Amino acid sequence: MKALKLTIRLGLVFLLFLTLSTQNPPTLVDLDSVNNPIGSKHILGTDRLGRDHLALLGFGILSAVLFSIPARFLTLSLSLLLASVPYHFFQKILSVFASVFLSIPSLLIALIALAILGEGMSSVIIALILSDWAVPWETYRTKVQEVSMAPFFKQSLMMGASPYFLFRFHIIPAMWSLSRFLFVTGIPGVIMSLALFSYLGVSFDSMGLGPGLGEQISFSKDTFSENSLSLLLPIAGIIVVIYSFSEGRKD
Amino acid sequence: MKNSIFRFLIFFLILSWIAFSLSSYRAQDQGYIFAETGNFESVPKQNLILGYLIFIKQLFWDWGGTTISGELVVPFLAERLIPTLALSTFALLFAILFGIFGAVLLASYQSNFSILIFRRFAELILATPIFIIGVMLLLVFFYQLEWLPPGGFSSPLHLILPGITLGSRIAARLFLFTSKEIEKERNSEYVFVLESRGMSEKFIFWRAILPKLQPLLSVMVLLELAGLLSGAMVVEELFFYPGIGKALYYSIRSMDLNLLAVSICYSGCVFYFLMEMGRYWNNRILGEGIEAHN
Repeated sequence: MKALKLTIRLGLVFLLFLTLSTQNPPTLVDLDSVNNPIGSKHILGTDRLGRDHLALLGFGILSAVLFSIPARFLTLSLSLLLASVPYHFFQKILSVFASVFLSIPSLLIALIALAILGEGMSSVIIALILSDWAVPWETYRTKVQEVSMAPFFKQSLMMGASPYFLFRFHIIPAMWSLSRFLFVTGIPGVIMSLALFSYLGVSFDSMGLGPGLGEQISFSKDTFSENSLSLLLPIAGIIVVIYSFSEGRKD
Repeated sequence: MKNSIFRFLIFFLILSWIAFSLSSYRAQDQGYIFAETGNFESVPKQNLILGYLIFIKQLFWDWGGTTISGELVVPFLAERLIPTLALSTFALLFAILFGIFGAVLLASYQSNFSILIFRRFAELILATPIFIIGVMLLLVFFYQLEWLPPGGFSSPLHLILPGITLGSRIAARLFLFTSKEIEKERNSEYVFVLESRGMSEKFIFWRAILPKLQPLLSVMVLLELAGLLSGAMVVEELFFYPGIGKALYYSIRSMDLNLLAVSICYSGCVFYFLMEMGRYWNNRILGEGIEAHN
């Protein structure tokens, strides 16, 4: 299983290297090369606007990963910050808000936030943070409570440790390992959300990386019989990226 | 009991406030919808607290107010409840059949290779976004084979594609959980004791392992139902299915303040009630009783 995941990850890196080396931009429309099959000039062919499939796939994967990492990082940072506030009353209020946010479908919150904030990279990241902050916050709070009830913590407290000492040497190490776990396990969900947003027409192409993988699916699904690769390649791209980031069970 | 009611009231207060605030912000640009007709009237900004009180009054006394098209919101949503219930039931039955019964069947035959193959398949399903599953099913069963209709809700056949799309991820989760738990129970101490007392494999599997898993699985199924009944926006939009999810998605697109706010309240309340039922059932299973729940 580990070998398979490593192979997939290496394959993705090779694909990105190949994409960058061919120097075909994903946004270059060439109406003289519409629906080209696999060939020497376009390794995976072209779509119905003459855009190179390899470039669309490679840059689509790159944009999904590049946007998901800061989005997840910011979500966890906000959740950690909120969980670290030491006031009990504040945490009680936040727990009610968290239960409300958890009861509303996260996609609904994200779509409403996107509709209010408009299109763009920052709107997408804010929407992802708003839809996703509650679960990590609850996890961090539970961890803080677990550590503060632990015998070693109570012993430190009884021996006169300062709040800074307790925070620095007990709470932070526990949060650090938990954050690493939450970061890695949360990336697939963020990539799925980004693919869904681009499928639903939310555009966030701000760095010339071309249409997202979801947008490519939405664009190609009606012309499957003329050019099946236009649909199958972004589908395979999304599945492979999510699978490569997911933490599988040990068999 | 009093504690539960008080908790729900606080929850509903915050939920309705958030629902109203989000809908108000969304509906601020409502005037632009009719701008092309030259009938542009911007929505007057109202005091948020006053607007919230009006919203609560409309919710309980005026059937949730009216939608943009002039229909009463609560009856509008109630019409869509039957299709949503039908779709949720189909998706859940599909998930239970292939997720739980599938895992039980494979485990009873102790075919490790088959279990491994199906686990990988389940992981693949979980790595696939739901809209991709829907698009693939449409391409195969509607576009290529023309066996099933692509959308709508006029016959039981219309339930199949959206039901399988919704149920596939739930089936994958249930399959992975069930097969993992069966394997864990098989390697546990008490099964070793039963084996050393001469009980047959079949007896241990059907009379000892499975009854132990059944309460956990029923809680999981209840929690999945909560997610389904809150509205499957993407699937209903993809298959033109006239359920609550499609109404939700439409309300966001059309900036319909009343419909959006009431829909968010509905989703939140359904999820809350089913989660509380799941928690209560879980506490009963653990033998902690109603006192622990309160």
